[in-house]
Amino acid sequence: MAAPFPRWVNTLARATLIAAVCTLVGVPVALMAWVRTPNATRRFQPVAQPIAFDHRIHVTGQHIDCQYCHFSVERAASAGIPPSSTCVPCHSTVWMNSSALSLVRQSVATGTPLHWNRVNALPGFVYFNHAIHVNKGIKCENCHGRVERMARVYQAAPLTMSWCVDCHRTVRAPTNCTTCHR
Amino acid sequence: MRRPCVITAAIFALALFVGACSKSSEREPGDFERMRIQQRDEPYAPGELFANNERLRQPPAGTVSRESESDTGAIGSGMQAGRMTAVVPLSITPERLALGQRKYTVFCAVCHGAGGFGGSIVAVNMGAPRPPSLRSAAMAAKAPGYFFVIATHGIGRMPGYAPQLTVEERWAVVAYIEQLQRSTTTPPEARADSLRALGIRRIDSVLASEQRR
Ligand code: HEC
Ligand code: HEC
Ligand code: HEC
Ligand code: HEC
Ligand code: HEC
Ligand code: HEC
Repeated sequence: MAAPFPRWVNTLARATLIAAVCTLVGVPVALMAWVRTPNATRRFQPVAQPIAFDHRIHVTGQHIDCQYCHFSVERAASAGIPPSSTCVPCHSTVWMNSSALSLVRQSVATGTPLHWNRVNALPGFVYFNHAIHVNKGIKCENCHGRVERMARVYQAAPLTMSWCVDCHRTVRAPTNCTTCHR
Repeated sequence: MRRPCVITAAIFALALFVGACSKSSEREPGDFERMRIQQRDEPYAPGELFANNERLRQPPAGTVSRESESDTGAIGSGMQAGRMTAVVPLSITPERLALGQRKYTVFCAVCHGAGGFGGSIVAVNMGAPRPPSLRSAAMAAKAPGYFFVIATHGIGRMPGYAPQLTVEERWAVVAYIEQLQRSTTTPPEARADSLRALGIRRIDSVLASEQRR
């Protein structure tokens, strides 16, 4: 009786087995590598904003401290985005007529807040708090990079759980789950 | 042998069919992200709950803050018997002066200069009226209450800093400005002694920072 399969099927069967093992191992490994890349964590991607606000001009050029605008950072969970009235004292003369600031003028006139796009955003099940970190002496650039050198702010840290927990382990901050998840 | 295969295939086909039936556009927005996007309100996020489409509320017109209402005395208002308070009503400790220096550097130095002489970069860019020097003789003659009231309510082009600074922080700033002014009006040796009397250490660096422009 003739063999039901030709000889090369042996090679095919072996190749298929190897390919199956490679896929089973390789796909999870590739996915795990992928979630750690800046692309997946959305690092280093400048975020476009309705107003071309430039931290370089204001912090490096005008020597304005971060806290002048993000003033709740020392006492609240959120660092806060400055209300448009913050911009007025300086911009009532400097650049106030330029089209770059028309949205600010409109916002101040109508009392409606500006809508900035989020850059750093944690998922809803994580409860981050700025006050504790800043009061314990952690500098903004440890987590946000050199914002004063960014034309458009981008997310500088991965903001993954391992990033938070690695630091918490080294500085002996609490690492039980309810510290960050409630 | 045959039947399990057929049943498994049927289940797969059914699952595929059911999965294909619910198009992603028909789902609630964020359905895939049910865990990441929760019902908790993020500060500053837009929301439909209130008429202004914001989740942060504006206080109704005419709201009086509890802080200002409960503190109508010298500490809360900077006024006493209708006049500006003549002394800082909180005790002046090295810690409070350090707090005052920190807050002054963040919130006032932008316009009035690190040493209070006026003429910061922002002040140069600003048209008239420019932020004046806080160390002129005319300024040194003003009562501390005057600086507190201005730090709270602002004056002319200058906004009030009550949202940014608590009452204690504002008095700390005033106490620090007072020290800056004294460093203009007293000779350096007497100044070092008066700083020592306040319990301040590292006098040299303090004296240097007071002359910074
Ligand atoms: C003149 C006011 C001003 C100053 C000073 C300032 N910022 Fe900002 N900052 C803003 C505004 C307005 C935005 C929102 C627009 C944007 O993202 O570019 C912002 C956005 C940010 C963001 C991104 C927020 C998000 O959505 O995640 C970070 C981080 C930040 N600032 C950090 C800093 C740091 C660090 C400093 C000091 C080096 C600083 N800022 C100084 C006004 C200011
Ligand atoms: C302490 C003063 C000060 C504050 C507060 C301030 N700015 Fe400015 N800003 C300036 C000055 C000065 C310039 C012009 C810099 C120059 O021409 O080199 C400027 C420039 C700008 C420009 C033009 C930049 C360009 O690309 O040409 C924009 C837009 C702007 N600011 C937005 C804002 C917004 C929005 C806020 C409020 C969150 C703000 N600024 C708060 C001082 C200030
Ligand atoms: C330990 C790390 C860490 C430090 C230190 C830190 N931040 Fe943040 N910051 C974050 C994280 C994480 C977020 C995102 C928070 C969220 O999505 O809830 C954030 C968000 C922000 C935002 C967006 C608005 C908000 O509050 O969510 C601003 C503005 C900001 N930070 C400014 C600052 C400034 C200014 C400093 C320094 C005084 C600072 N941060 C220090 C980690 C940090
Ligand atoms: C650069 C180091 C560093 C990073 C990164 C960091 N933390 Fe922290 N965290 C600290 C320190 C230091 C403390 C203060 C611990 C103490 O002494 O109480 C702290 C405290 C906290 C607390 C308060 C704990 C308490 O006392 O109840 C929370 C919540 C927290 N961190 C959340 C986070 C989250 C969420 C992230 C990531 C987005 C993060 N942290 C990233 C250093 C860090
Ligand atoms: C220091 C803060 C911190 C602590 C402590 C912490 N987490 Fe997290 N966790 C985070 C952050 C931040 C994220 C969001 C990561 C992201 O967006 O990729 C997260 C995400 C998660 C997720 C969801 C992962 C995903 O893919 O969305 C789970 C599950 C989780 N944590 C479980 C835990 C458990 C269990 C513990 C206790 C052993 C714990 N966490 C302790 C900060 C923390
Ligand atoms: C945005 C720039 C700016 C900042 C920041 C600022 N000021 Fe002023 N300040 C001004 C200007 C402009 C004037 C002049 C107002 C006028 O005459 O219209 C002024 C005037 C004053 C005066 C009144 C001087 C007089 O002629 O009697 C005092 C006192 C004062 N500022 C104190 C402070 C204190 C305290 C802070 C910090 C909490 C501060 N300023 C922060 C811009 C600023």
